[in-house]
Amino acid sequence: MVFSSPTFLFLFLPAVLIAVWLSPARGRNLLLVLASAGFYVWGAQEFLLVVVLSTLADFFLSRSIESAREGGDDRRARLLLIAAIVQNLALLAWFKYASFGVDQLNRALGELGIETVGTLSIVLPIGISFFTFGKLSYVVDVFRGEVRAVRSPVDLLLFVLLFPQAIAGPIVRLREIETQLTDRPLREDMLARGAVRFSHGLAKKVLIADTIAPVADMAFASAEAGTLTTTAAWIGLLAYTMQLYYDFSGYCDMAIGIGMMLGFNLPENFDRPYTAKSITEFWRRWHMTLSRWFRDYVYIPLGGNRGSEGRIARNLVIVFLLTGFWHGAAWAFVLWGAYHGAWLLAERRFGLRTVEGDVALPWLRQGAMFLIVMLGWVLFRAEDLGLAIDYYTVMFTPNGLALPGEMRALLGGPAGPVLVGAALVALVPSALSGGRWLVEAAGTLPRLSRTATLAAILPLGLLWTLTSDFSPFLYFRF
Amino acid sequence: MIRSRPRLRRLLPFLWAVALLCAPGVAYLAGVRQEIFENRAPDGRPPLSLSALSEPDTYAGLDAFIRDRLPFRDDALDLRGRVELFGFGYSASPAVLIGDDRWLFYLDEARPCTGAAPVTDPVLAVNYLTGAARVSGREATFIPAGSKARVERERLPRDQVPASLRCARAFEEDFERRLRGNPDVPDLTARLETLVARGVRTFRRWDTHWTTAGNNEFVRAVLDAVEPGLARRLGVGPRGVDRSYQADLTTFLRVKAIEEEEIVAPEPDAVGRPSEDVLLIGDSQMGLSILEEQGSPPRTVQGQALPGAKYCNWPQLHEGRCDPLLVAARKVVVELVMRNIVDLERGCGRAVFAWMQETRGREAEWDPASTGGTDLERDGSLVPGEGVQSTLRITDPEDDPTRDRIVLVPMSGAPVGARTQVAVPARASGRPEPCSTTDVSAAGEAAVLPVGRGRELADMSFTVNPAPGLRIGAPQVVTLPDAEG
Repeated sequence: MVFSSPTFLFLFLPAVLIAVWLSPARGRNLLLVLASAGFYVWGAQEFLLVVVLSTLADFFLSRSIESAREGGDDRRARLLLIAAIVQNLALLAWFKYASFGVDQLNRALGELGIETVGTLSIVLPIGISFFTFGKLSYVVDVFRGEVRAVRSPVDLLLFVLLFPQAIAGPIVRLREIETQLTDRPLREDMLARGAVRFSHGLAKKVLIADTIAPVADMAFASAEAGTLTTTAAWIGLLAYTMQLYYDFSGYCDMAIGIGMMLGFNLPENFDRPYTAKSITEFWRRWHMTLSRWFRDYVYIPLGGNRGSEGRIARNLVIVFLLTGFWHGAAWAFVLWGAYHGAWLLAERRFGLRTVEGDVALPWLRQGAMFLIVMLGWVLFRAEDLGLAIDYYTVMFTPNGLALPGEMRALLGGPAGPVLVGAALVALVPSALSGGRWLVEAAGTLPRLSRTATLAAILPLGLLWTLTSDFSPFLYFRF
Repeated sequence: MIRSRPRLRRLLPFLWAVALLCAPGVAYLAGVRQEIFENRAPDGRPPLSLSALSEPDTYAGLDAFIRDRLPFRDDALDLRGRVELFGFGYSASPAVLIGDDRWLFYLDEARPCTGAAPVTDPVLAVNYLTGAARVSGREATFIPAGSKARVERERLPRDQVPASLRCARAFEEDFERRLRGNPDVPDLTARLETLVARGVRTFRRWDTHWTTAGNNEFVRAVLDAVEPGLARRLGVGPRGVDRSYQADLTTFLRVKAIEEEEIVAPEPDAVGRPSEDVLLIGDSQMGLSILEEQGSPPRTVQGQALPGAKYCNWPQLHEGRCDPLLVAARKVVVELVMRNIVDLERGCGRAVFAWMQETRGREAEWDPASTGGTDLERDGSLVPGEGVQSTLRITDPEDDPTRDRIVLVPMSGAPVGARTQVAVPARASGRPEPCSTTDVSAAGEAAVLPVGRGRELADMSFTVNPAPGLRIGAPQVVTLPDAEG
């Protein structure tokens, strides 16, 4: 089930919201686990059983880790942690990377003239990367003593399966919602803020991302067909850059909004990433929960910023190669990660790691950052290296300024103005953007603005969901 | 009470959201139902067995089932379509082109230039059809109905007419120009263009069909094709009563739009021509103009003006369901829109075959040198070896290669249902002859093989893949009346 489907919006969500409010506090977790299981089954069927069993394994292992630590048996705790990490990573490796690995093996064997080993066809369960990282953070945090092992399997299942965040993030760590699992009053202010946030997310997804998506689709389809022009390539890439942001951040807004309406405060995942003035800053604003996860569970354990420049560079490269690989089992994603890692290294080398505060030539810095990020998205969208190279070739070897008639017609419709508006909003500095103010500011004017926005945008967004058949969120496949 | 007001105000966004989320479900429970915009049956509920629940298709099916039952989807589609069409002038459908002043054009009219060009020459097909009708004692009239993009071309977007549409217009103009000398092909398009030149709209703005003025010309053309002067005798014309149509092109753009036109019909008291011998073959315009009930009391033009006339649509013709009506008819009137012209080769063979079975031609002979060792019988027939493909040539001293001809090849002897395949070589240009029989059941039927002017019968070979026991009769040649101008 996806957040923008009529089934979710008009049946599942209202039914769950009403059931949760009407149910006594002590039954809410079980109710939410059952609802989340239903939500997950809709998209992944029997894989739910694998998730449940793996979570129960985490439950017992984490309890054992905690007992071993409290008993002073660090070696046993470490072994149990390794077992927990292996069982989680094994699932991820099998479902997400085994086919890719076998393909690479076959390619290598083919090069050597040795008989290949056949192919694997494994369906990728939705959201596996997200909840695996959530589960991993949990067992590691228990080992580190940063959180207590969860006492109830229902609570742990809720942490893993909680439907607003289970399949496309944000990546939640137990410490972020630990108290809410057991004590979660439904406060009026959270209900209202949740509704506003949810509406914003829905609008971002169906009114903006889905409207400009055909521009990007057309450009990449033209690249595949060999008919892409330079102008269309740049416009198509700008469209994809905006589509990805509004789609993914829209999903996260909806997740956070639904979470609020259910009593949870889920972590933020985006902070106006295209206003960053360096790649370093970009990664502190884009998919923030993933960046933090890699920082806390890979980068710092590897040594982080300690040690020589060479060692730091090695750590950064590892983190960004893994970041790329996390997004997909394809060399294009690995290259995309390496591309970002390389820019981060360059920023360290030349002292351009601006994160906050006044900098010289801010617009130029932001423009450069935006261009770098945008070019990286070609690898991300193309997935296939050959297609990405073709796309870059057209972008940088001008073959005419004229736009193909089909794209001109498309941009003449709602996609054109929406793309321009979306780009302007995404690129203006935070101080000039009204989004955060609209959601969070106190006072009569913000409240009136919120109500007016909600009154207009939510019905429109909901109506639009009725007009489009299935339109999945981009980050579901990761 | 004093405390509950601010609380309610604080909760207002939340209550608003919940109310909207619940609205379709509540409306459904209250009995509100939506129309399926796409003119199809609602998707049914998928089976919900335990094994089905492990299949992704089940959930996709449930999504579709729910989507088709939630109220307001049709209203949502309409709203979105209106925003796109009237707000942005944007066509969400690749099949619809938006012209000046939001006139809509159907890009299917560009079919001959978008990979679906006819394999055979449609002009030849019309000539064979009208010729076959005449030599079999029938009259067949073909009424090409000029496309909207051609007749109302001033409404096309000035600088963005797709090349395929321009190409299709040229195809259509060439088709009609070449048929201008054929007395069985009235020039309706010229009449429509005359009206347009006078500032009269002939096509509806958001639809592929005609306005009152265009419809009037069409109805008159159909009735006069059955009997010259019939339309005037019946007083056919606009009747001053409006009829509502749901526009078809806006539907592609998800907009529910209604257009109104006056009905076109005979005088209320006019008595029509008994028309048991008439067959109408047509597309949607024939349906709207002639066959659908209109006015009050409701009646059809067919029922009033042509009582007893039969009707076939093009799919029925293609599938052979029209064959008995083709045989029974003495007067046939055919509406030809662009897609029918493109598909003409499909229906053509059936009609020519049906009409030529009761026709005899001039006796010709099989060229003995071509029979591949098969002995000719005394009556000129031959029995090819079972499973042996024969390539036969005809000897006809009276052959007139300046005229279109149809060769009839009687076949008999094979068991009922056994098929014999027949083929005529393509022209030098590479296009095969239209309207040829491709296979016969050999139960006393004759293969019908048209040969166009400019081709010598003696130079042509007919390939026969015989059914077991087939006996191929001596060929007969029918020379068709001169048609092409």
